Amino acid sequence: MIIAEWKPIAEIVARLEGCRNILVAGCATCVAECAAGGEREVESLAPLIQMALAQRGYPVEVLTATLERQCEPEFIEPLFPKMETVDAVVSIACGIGIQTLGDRFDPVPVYPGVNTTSLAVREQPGRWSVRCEACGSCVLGDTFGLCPIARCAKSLLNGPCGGTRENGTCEVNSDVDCIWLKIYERAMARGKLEALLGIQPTRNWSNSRHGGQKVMIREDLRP
Amino acid sequence: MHETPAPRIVVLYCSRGGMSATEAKSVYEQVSDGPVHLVAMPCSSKVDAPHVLKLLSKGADLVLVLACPEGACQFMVGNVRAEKRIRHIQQLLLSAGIENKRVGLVRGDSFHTQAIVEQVTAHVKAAIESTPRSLPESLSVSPIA
Repeated sequence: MIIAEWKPIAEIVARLEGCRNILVAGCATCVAECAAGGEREVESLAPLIQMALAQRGYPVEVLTATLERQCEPEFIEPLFPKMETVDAVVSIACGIGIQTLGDRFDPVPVYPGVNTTSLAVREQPGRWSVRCEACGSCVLGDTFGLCPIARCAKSLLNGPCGGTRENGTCEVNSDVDCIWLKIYERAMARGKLEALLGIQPTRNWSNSRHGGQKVMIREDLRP
Repeated sequence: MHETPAPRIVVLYCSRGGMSATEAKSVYEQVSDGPVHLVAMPCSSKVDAPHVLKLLSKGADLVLVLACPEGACQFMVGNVRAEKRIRHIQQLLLSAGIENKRVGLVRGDSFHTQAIVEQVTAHVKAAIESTPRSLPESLSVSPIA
């Protein structure tokens, strides 16, 4: 899932001073799973914004809405009739949802209420861990399903750095496992240690996040 | 001369903590700081950020949760969860520049009238001393979709 975390509330509120009607919009998909932008969070952020603005001398009416998905144009249409009365929107969906709202409801300003951080999995209640960097050239087939790009602090492709701690955690962050140790253990368990002897060639990062906006086209799906 | 309005107090209490309806009525009558709204919950863990924050935004000056002692929750860890949530709410209030003493949690072996009245009074004092009251009543938070 895409994960996000709330921006400091003071930062959110600073953009809203002077507004009379505000919409706090959430998304019931990824950001709801990571407890940043679902209905529960919308209903928490709205009164906080209202109280913080009132305390600063800006009384405001706060509407709330949690859409099933904020990243798909069809799902945000129900908001359209309400937008005429709104001075500003605070979206706590991921960056995609925020931009989708902003494009659709321009010129109403849509401000981010969250920082979208990464692609992660929920390991335990209240703990999310990054699993994918959307690097554009997946190596999971070579690394026994464990991603060294996202899960190695140095994104190494040819084995551990040598800084693995005795308890198997990363030298950079003792809260996380050395993923290369995990790859090694998984290879050994499958009897395929020799697969790790090959050298990964220099990586082509051109399909990654660098070099401007990426656009993916499937001609068979286009109108 | 402008008269300061009486603080509005909401007490959310675990219904398994032993407070009877009679005791709840006594608390209501004995707290002299302002009107107390006592709300029974099946467990203190039912407390959640949206509920508490909405109470505050609708004009409550203090929201106090009465939870069972640690280890005595009939749902094992409900009161521990309640405490974590209250701490989280206090952090949210702090980050929004709002006095976080307006929310509190009290543990008690049993909920006796006098002890509750004392706790409410102490929390009201702490919350009110540091908070300008109250928020405009005309403002609203309402769902639209």
